[in-house]
Amino acid sequence: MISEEVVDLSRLQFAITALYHFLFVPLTLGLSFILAIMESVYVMTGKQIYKDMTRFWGKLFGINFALGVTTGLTLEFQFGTNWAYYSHYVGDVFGVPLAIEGLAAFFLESTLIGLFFFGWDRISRVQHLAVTWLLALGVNLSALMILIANGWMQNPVGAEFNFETMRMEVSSFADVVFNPAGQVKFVHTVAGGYCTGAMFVLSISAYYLLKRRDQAFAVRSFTVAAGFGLAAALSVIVLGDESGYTDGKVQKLKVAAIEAEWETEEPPAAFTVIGFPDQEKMETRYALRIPWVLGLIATRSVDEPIIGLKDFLVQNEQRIRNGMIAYALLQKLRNGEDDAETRARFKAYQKNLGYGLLLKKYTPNVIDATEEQITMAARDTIPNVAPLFWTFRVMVACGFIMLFVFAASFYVCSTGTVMKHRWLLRLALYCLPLPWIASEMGWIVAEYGRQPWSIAEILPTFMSASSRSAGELYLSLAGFIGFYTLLLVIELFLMLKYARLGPSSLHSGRYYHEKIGGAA
Amino acid sequence: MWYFSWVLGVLLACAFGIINVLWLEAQESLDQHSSVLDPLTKLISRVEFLEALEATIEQCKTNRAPFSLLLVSLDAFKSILDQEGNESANESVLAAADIIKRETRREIDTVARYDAETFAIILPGAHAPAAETIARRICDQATARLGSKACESVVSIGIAEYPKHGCPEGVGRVLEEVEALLRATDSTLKRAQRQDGGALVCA
Amino acid sequence: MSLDYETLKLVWWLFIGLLLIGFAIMDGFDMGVGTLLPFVGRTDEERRVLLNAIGPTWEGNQVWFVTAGGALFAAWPLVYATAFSGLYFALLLVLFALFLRPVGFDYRSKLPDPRWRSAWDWGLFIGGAVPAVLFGVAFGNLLQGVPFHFDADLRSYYTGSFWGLLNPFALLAGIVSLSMLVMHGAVYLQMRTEAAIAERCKKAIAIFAGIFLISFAAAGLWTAFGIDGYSITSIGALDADPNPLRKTVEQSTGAWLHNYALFAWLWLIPTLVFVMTLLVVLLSRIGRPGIAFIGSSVAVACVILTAGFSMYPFLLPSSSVPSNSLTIWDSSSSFTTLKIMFWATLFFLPIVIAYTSWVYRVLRGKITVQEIRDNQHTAY
Repeated sequence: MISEEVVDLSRLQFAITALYHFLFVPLTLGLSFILAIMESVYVMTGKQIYKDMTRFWGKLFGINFALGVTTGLTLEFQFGTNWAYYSHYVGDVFGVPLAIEGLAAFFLESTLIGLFFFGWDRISRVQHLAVTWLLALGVNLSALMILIANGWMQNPVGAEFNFETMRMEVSSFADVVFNPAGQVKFVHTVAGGYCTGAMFVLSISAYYLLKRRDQAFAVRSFTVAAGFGLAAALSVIVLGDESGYTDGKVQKLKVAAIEAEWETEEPPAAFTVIGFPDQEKMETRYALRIPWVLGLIATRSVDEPIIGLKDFLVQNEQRIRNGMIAYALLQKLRNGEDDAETRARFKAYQKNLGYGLLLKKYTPNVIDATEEQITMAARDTIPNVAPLFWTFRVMVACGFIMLFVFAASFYVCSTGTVMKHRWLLRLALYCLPLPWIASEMGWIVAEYGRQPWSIAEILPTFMSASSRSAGELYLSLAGFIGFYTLLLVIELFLMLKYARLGPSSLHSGRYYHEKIGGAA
Repeated sequence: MWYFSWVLGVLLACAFGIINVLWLEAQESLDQHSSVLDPLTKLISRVEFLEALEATIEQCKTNRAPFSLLLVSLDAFKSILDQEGNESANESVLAAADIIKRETRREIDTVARYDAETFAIILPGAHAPAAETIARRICDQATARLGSKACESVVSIGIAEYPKHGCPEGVGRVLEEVEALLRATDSTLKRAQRQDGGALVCA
Repeated sequence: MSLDYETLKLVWWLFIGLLLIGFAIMDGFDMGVGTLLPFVGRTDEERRVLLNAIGPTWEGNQVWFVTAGGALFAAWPLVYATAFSGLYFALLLVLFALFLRPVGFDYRSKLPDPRWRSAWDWGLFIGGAVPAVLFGVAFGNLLQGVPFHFDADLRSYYTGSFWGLLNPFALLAGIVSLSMLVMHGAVYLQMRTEAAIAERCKKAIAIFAGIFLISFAAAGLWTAFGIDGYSITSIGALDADPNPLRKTVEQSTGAWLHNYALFAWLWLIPTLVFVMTLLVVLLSRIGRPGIAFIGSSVAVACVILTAGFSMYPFLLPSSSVPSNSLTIWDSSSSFTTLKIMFWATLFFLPIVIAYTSWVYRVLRGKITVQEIRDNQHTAY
């Protein structure tokens, strides 16, 4: 078996590169639609200022997009380089959405982005508008295919284990595409991206308004962002709630861990607003609880129970025992004792094979596991509660603050009193980091909460890693951290420079800094 | 069906964004922030102006660029009010505002109605000599348009330059600088008004 | 011919080949131009001409690579897993070099400082040259076989080192690939530029075409007489569920020419490489870079086909345990997955080609120094 150190390093490397990638993706998702909105208004009204808006925010979009592409490549490579056994074990299913993402979405966005920047004088206004919309569509389709793949990791439907090839194989591709976990994940994630794009434009416009520069430009950008952001924030919260409901059905254990539900309660379960979960004692200290709420969110009913972690522990211990039987049968089949009865028995037990594989961490043969090892493996199936509990709450808090900012901004835009509410402009400026915090926290909730599995209930994370040495991983990890830090510094430097410069960076002669330069 | 709700949601959100802007554009509420403007001249009022001055000082600190502050007093206001009444006085204010608007740069310079008979102007990037040229033009125009009324001086203008008069001892706190600058401008205005025939005085 | 499992396995070999050829032709000239950037562009403005000749379209071209990777993952998961984890540092090196391209293009001209710009120019040079060499090195290693084996759970273990990949034959293959792509890039540049830059491209084409032909011929002779090829001696049913542990393989010098011995018409492909390359030099001399570009594209495609046909049906031979080698018959995805991917490719690829052609048509024409001066704030 691969050493624990290698597994941990591989996980750390994936977490760092994925979290880093996810600094850029949400902004790309949201800003693409905001650009499309601005350009639509330009084509409808013919006002130059909306074209300037599209071009200026497009410039920032480009700076961000470059790093999004760069870091996305890493993730595609890493499944192969660092998670080879994973790639072999589930590539038959997981690879399909990734390949289709390339064909159907990534080609579209990458081919059109050149035309978006350089096509202004070469194609008609309406054609260019179509390019911008298709760019936004491509970006979002990309997210769709990736999140279908990710949704399948959380809730692996439409696939079966094949003992001959030792891997999962597609049984129904429609089930993979219409996987409820993937669907809610997609809508929730892209809506979060729309909030990010809107908050980005809102904050930077608020900065210009506070500085009283290019007010006509800034007020319009602010208005677009407030309108789109309000719709996005509302849907992110509604859909987040819906994803709680879906998770309540398909990822029960994760919900219980996020909510620190140690015991199965009398339904409807109470919602723990805040408290200090203690993994060892399996209890939450100083919990502030609201009756009924969790039961309503997660089951939409008053009589369905939410199973607590302690009961999962008991259930999973049984599944591990069954998994040992499944593994023994698998060995028989692989060794050529391929008769109808063994096959039938394996089919009956195969759902638990993944639980059996959990024992590989303690004993490579699985079938000779001791009672103690089974208990330890069962203990592993409960994710670490405290980080999930907290990251989830931070994410939700960010969501509600953003909703408030968007709603207030929308109100002042509609009443034409933007300049009168300087406190709101300041608040909007300070809220700039919130959507990123929320996105990163959301990623942690979803992926850290999936542990100990890389594919829920099918393949344990520690088995998925490639057989490389710890030394090699330290080296590559150092390379990634060094390179990524450098790139981030450069990106933030350019971003800040252009955001400060504002629309004057278009060199159209219509905006603040150029006029100052000319007048002095 | 989640994908369907996504398609619908995106279409609605984008349509909402577009229609909202088009509607506000049609209301012309994106260009004027009516409630903060002086109802007569459509210039910003004193409170707004002080904030703008503060922001300009902050900016000039980072950019290390100068700016000039002008206080334009319509000296003829009182006599017109006394002799011809409210209506004519308002007209003269409007005329002066119009002249100032024309002589300054839109979207760059800040023009405010400081009090009933005084206007304030911020000229970012302008040294005192440049400001003086503009002030001279305003003065000439005003005399040409309102000078027929029987009074000695039509407008007086005081000029101060930042950072020269804002923070003589180097970097100060913004609010102190605002005060110092206004005091400097005000005293030059007073000196201008004391001179016969009105006109302008640079600090 | 119905779409049974065996046929589909073969079709996917062709599809991945097609995607690789698409990548080599489309992103190949970007890498070539990147390599030429500091040498053909002497001044900042000239370099910007080069960058803007490929700038608006390079991003789409790179997707051929991403898609080929994705398709490899979906169609041959075992090859993807084994090759990527085995060639760990080579892949990371390619990755780090490729990092420099998106940021290089987008950020280079956003600041006027000459040190900033020249740093990015060299970054783009690395982003073009390093992957171009390493892709060749990878092919060189495929032809020799890579030291790996599987355990009973089909977990792969790579037993070589990173430096082992940089053996003489592989480095020769790296030279083939680099010189081929630089020539290809120079032809593209000659087509999109004029005057001094185009003249320099002509020179580059002649030089790199020479290096390319010599190294290609040398690599061919080495493959025939120097290195061990692989051949299958026994294998189960070709349409069975793929399991790479159930066959026997033999290593022998010259085995990579078996297919050429079986089908003599295959010799046409390497022959075309020589004919087309000579034509390219000629056409560029007489100032017809447009047709020359078609010629060099054919040459690039034929190089990949030459290697592909000599290895067929091997994908990733194992030099340490030859019977664990991966072939198109025993490392593919399931029948269902291959079918889904087949239809998806058949549906999307023509659409991709259609809008890519439209974009190229819109952005056609020569890039001049004057144009860069006029658009200095918007151009790359």
